[in-house]
Amino acid sequence: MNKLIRTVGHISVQTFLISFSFLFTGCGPNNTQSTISILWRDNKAIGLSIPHSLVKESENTINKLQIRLIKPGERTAILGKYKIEEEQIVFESAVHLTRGFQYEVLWLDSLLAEIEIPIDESVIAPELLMVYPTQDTVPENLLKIFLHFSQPMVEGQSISHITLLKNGRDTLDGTFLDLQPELWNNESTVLTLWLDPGRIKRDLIPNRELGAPLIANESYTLHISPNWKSKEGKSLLIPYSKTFVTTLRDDESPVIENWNIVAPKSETTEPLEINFLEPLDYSLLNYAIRLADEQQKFIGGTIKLSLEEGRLHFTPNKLWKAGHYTLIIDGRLEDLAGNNLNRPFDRDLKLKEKQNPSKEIFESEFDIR
Amino acid sequence: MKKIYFFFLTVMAGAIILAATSKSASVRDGFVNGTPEIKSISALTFGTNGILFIGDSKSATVFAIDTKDTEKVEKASAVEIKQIDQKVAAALGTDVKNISFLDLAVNPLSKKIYCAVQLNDGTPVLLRIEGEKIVSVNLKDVGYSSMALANVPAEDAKDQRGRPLRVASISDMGFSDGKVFVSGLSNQEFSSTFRSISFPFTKQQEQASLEIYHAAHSQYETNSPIRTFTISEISGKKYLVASYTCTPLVLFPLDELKSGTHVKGRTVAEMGSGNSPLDIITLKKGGESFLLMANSSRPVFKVNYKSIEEFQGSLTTPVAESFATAGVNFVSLPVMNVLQMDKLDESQFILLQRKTNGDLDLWTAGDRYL
Repeated sequence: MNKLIRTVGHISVQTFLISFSFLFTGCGPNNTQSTISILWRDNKAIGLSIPHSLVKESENTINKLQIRLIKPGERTAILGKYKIEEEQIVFESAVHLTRGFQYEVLWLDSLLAEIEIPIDESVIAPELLMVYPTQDTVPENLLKIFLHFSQPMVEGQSISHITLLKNGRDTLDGTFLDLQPELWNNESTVLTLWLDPGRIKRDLIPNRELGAPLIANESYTLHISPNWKSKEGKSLLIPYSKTFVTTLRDDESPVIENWNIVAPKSETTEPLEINFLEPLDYSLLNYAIRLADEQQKFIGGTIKLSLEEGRLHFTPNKLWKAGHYTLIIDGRLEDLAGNNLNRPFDRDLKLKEKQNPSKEIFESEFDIR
Repeated sequence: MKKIYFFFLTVMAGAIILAATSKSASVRDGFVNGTPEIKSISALTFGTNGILFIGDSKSATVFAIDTKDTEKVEKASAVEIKQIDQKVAAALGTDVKNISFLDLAVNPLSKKIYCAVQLNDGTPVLLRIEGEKIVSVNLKDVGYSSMALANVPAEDAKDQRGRPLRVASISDMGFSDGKVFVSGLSNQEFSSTFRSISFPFTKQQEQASLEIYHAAHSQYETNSPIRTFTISEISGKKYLVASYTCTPLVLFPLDELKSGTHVKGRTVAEMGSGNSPLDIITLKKGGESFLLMANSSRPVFKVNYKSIEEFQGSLTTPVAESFATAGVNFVSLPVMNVLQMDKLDESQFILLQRKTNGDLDLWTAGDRYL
């Protein structure tokens, strides 16, 4: 196998030639490149470079060239653009060529070469780092589960890789909402799974027909298939499972007045500690709580969750100064059952007179001495 | 006299050309030539004059692309491509397991089908189906404009915590009367965001907060997110007809969806469990309008708009429990496993359907289904 690596502008060129037939060897006047090369950008094979020496120049050179995937059955030309440059014809495919696949280059009906896009040996297997909520006791009307992976994962296939088993025996169908597109973070490392809200909501037809997805005082195991692949094409290193038990339905909004704030000492960078007295939603906790000083300036810092998302620690970037501080909490902050600060997940209109008007933010004040 | 006549004709011709030019210029107002940075394709919808809107969840942006596909076709030819997934995969030089179909949209002018496909590694690609041919749509050096979705609170800029941006996945898009409508799903809270964005894009976008009133039960209300929607006229008034992740069909008067307003929609039908609605379209047959809805685990439903109109009147008061379970009457069409659906013309629609033998076929259904 010939191997040639060189760089042309921003695109690196690597030649992997399995076999080729020099149908027109010696036709090109300046035969500096004699083999077909793979063009690379950002570690992806974006096309091929075909030296003029391999093809017979004519008015319709481009129309006579064809790049096809080698596969059983009918083969068709790959979509892409051809560009005639001084030394070569550059083919840029509509999407990058797939690693591990072989392609053939044809001039009219004659085979010029077969090229394999090499597998990237440096790619490592992805891991499932964490499943949220982390605690193993959840309310029966749990609304969301978050899966945090070590690498960007293939999207759109979660339902086929996730199984929920009741009491270690029965596989449950239709527990999770099949959403397309799925709800991934921008990096494609955190997936939000929703337990079917139509079944959680009281009195909706799905709820009446099938009941809630989870029932109190039962044990459930979430299994993640090791066949789930990263975007780089590697499967999960190991299968993963998490067992949790269910408690009674939670229809109460979190009440910030009940939170316990442990203020740090001034002139330190000790973390501020907020105890919620119940686990709250992992994803919302990461953005819903901010801290402002007496001048209403936001304090920069980092947060850490502990006690199975029941406690938040805020470590400031700078030393704490003595003074009055305000926690500014987004009204959308939810507990595990989707009850936010303003209202429970589903609200009974008959009880409307007891409801307060919705607020975008909630505040809680404390002093640092 | 002849001279005057000639002068008059010249002025008229000039005026017509000017009108045509300014009209086309206004649609492309704010367009630049270049390569839009499209990171993902979540939804497609066409506006007028061959403008294709691409909803990009990853960059939280709506792109307007000038496809230059403006040749008018009145009656579309039926399209049928068997094993379209195999054919698309081969055209992209990869295996069928490595691709997924994201959305389909028909250009109402040319009746050509546009199809967004994604590789497993997230690379999006836009294709056009021309008869039996699959071609790639060039998104390099094209005329385009874009609008970032304002889903990040302004105060975030002041926050130095480096918090991750909230993700609002675009669940559906639609275009009506010079406005792009975008429904969103959040990866965090259980809520409904619905935006209306004037086109050509200005700095303004309106975001209404929507809420469902479960009229059928006269009890509960929620902020459930919209999965798919269409804009339709019901009793002479424009409505957002939205289908939800939890309870399918809800109506909102379009003129009430204004920025900062809180609008309660009314559920007119619940259409089954363990199901997620995928696409809604409106078709016509013999002076009657029908709503068609594709579902993740149910057949395609057909609803006569007449029955929605009739139901509309009775929704102002809570309905009797026995009636509530039925809601608006709908018919299940003998078409299962439809992944994507769009209107081809007034009486035909295209379906991307997983057949019982495992094949993924694109085919055209006519008014026999209406």
